[in-house]
Amino acid sequence: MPIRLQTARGTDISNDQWTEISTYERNWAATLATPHRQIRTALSPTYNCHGLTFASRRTRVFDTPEVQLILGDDSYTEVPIETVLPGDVIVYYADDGQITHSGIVVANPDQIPRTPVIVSKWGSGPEIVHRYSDVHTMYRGIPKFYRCRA
Amino acid sequence: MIEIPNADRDRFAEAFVVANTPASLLTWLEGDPTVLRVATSETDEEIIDTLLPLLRAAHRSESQTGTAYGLLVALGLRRRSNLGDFALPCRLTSLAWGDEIWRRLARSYVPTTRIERRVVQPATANVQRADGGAAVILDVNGNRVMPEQGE
Repeated sequence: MPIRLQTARGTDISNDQWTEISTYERNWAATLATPHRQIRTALSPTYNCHGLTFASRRTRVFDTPEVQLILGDDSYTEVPIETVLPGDVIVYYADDGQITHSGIVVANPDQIPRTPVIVSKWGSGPEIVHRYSDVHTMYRGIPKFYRCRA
Repeated sequence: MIEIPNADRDRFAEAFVVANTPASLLTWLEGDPTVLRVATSETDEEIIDTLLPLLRAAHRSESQTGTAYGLLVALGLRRRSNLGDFALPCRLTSLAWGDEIWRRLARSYVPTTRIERRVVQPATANVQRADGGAAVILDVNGNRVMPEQGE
């Protein structure tokens, strides 16, 4: 079921809340924990990664154009990895420019190479705190960091 | 019916569960070796015959749903490389992202540009072989042109 979701400029964003978690998903989610990942929440069908990053965990946002609309309307600006701060967001792009994943930066340790730590959500699974490069192979691509200037 | 090993079905199931968006699922499946194998070695009919029972299943498992998406993408890749016919192969309403993925496959299809060339006919004369093999030059109106008058 969709909810009312708008950008800062009042543009409607299509979305949908899901309601079910399957046994398969529970079993799959149980395999996600590793020494380098911290499971932060229980599973939730309500929101996906973009819902976590851009919609306050209220719903699912699916389309690349919708996310690009949010980035534009909400005055997000790309920032280099060296200057990334907690609260910035990360967006993963496939080779063809499609957005495959997103998350929120929670730390950017002062080390070389820079390895920001993010919180993101994988499917209907839990929120996971992990290094930005430690994502499911489906999400691997070109990561870009953005800061909301609004 | 196409035989898809359990290991491949498990991979499709995980892809379906992990995917946050139709774009991420499609991107993943487009590079999946099994999808590519099916797209290159099976026919449209075989793919659809295997896909339809999965779409009609009343209660699908993640494995069945993921496999259905895999077959759909394989079919789209075949259409993209062959005819470019992106009419819907069947009703996809039982796959939540089916229509969207099919639209994306169709959008990413770039048809070969059709080039038409007009052959410019000679404006002044045609050459015909007359009886006996002698060349006779005719102007555009069919009048005989003598060689010494041709220039």
